[in-house]
Amino acid sequence: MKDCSCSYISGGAIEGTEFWLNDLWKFEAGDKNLLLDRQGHILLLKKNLCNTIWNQEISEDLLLKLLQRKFAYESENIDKNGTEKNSDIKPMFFMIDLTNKCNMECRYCLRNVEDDSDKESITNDMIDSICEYLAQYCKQIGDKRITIQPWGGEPLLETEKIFLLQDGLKKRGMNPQITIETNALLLSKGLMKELYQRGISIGVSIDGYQKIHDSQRVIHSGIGTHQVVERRIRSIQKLYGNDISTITTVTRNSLENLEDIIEYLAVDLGLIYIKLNFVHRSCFAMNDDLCLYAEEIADATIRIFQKILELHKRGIEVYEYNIWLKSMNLLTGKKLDVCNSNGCHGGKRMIAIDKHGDIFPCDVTDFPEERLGNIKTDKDLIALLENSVGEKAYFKEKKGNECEKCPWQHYCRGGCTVHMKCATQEQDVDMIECTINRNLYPKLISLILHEPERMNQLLGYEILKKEP
Amino acid sequence: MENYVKQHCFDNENVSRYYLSPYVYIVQTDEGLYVGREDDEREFCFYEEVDVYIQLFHKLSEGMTEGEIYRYLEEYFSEKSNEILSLLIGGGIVE
Ligand code: SF4
Ligand code: SF4
Repeated sequence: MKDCSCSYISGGAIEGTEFWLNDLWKFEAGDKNLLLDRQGHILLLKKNLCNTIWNQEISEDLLLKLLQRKFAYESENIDKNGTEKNSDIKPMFFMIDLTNKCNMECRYCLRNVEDDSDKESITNDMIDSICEYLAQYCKQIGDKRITIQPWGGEPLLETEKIFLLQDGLKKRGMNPQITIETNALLLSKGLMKELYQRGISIGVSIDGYQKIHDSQRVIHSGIGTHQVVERRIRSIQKLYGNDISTITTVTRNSLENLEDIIEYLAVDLGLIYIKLNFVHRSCFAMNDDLCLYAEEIADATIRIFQKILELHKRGIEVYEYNIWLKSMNLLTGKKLDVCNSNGCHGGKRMIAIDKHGDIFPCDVTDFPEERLGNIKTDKDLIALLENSVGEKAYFKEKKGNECEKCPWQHYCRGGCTVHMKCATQEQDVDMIECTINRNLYPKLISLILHEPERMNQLLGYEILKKEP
Repeated sequence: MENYVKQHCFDNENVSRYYLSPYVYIVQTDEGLYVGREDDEREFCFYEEVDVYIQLFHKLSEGMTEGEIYRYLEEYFSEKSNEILSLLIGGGIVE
């Protein structure tokens, strides 16, 4: 794919007007420019129109577009960085840690499943208290549109608790979206049907075709689970249609076969919504041999991007979540993801609650120092989080030397707090996310400028208007 | 998701037309239609003629002149049209 050039332009007064132009990055390809500002807005302009900005020949019409997109400001109002407001603290995504029991023993699992000392699941009483807590919280914020992810271990080992949670919330006038990520071993047809009838969405972990999957995802005796998982996915598809997503973990063991794995998921299994995650080096990795370096992960991300484009060329519909999300970041500015739309929003737009009712900013429930409070004692969640943001190391701003002049800063903000915390060497930012962003975003912008129709395919709808 | 919202590439011809901002969100509830910008705290709720607004937003995603928007609004809101038009532009919903 063709590349595009990029230049950084410092803001300044727009001659002949009382307005100021914000700092921006200008990307150029063919006869088009894409302007990007520090708050993640973009503006697509034909080159000759764009040049009028710097030739001081700007028309009123273009000035209005720049003002509406926030590329231009009234001078006294200038807010270059779009500083975060406290109103950004409003969790809508809740992970409820039901159990750390698991019926599998994946080779790369970070949870210490061999430690039997804390294998109790959440109690029914605690589920009830969580329901009450969430109901009160929704009343406080005047918004019931929360999403809940029962978490584990394997969440389906506690299916009854998932239903108890849903029923408890329904009893309190709520109908949250519930989503589970499962290894699928317990997904009998009967259970699948019940989940479907209850409107619970399912994500299944599958690491690829049999040889790859069975070398990573095994039960305690070491036997692979591919056959069962593939069968379950086909049954889910019969019931849910395309509304099933999968999570694939890529390791050093499977890296080489990345394209074949995607081919298998999209073509052989006919999956439309896939997500690929990577096992990376960290102080918690149990099996170092499987871990990938940041550069390898960034390189693999570009390979995924290219493979998806190739599949689209062959008329196969498939969306890889991470690529889709970053394209959405650029084109819509919607903060769709807690982690990768506008930096880490753990503890701001998401919290995790563990089986003791302890509140954590993310699914870091294995780190006692990250505990923020407890549902029994901290009744006002927003107040708890607002206080924690000022006090806890978790919320400290992540900024490296290069972030200030980095075009992707709005989306990245130094990446994942937990990645950074668990890195094997001290870092100012999450180097994995940094390397991915610096490699992937330029490719996405090139696609927007050179082949808008293919960007539309990546997103699944015509967001970039066909030019006459 | 409002999958009719578009990012247009502006040239000397279409720069004078008005479009639905690609940064809007539109949520329809029992109360009315909530429309706001993703990137700030501006949000409006339209309680009446919800379908009229939705149709307008669809049209705006393809681009309209100021006169076209005004005439469309006038048909349904007569003397309030000017006020609504300035609200939509001032609120960053239309750009
Ligand atoms: S710490 Fe990482 S995983 Fe947790 S919310 Fe932040 S970005 Fe997401
Ligand atoms: S961490 Fe890297 S990608 Fe992220 S803002 Fe800083 S320099 Fe940019």
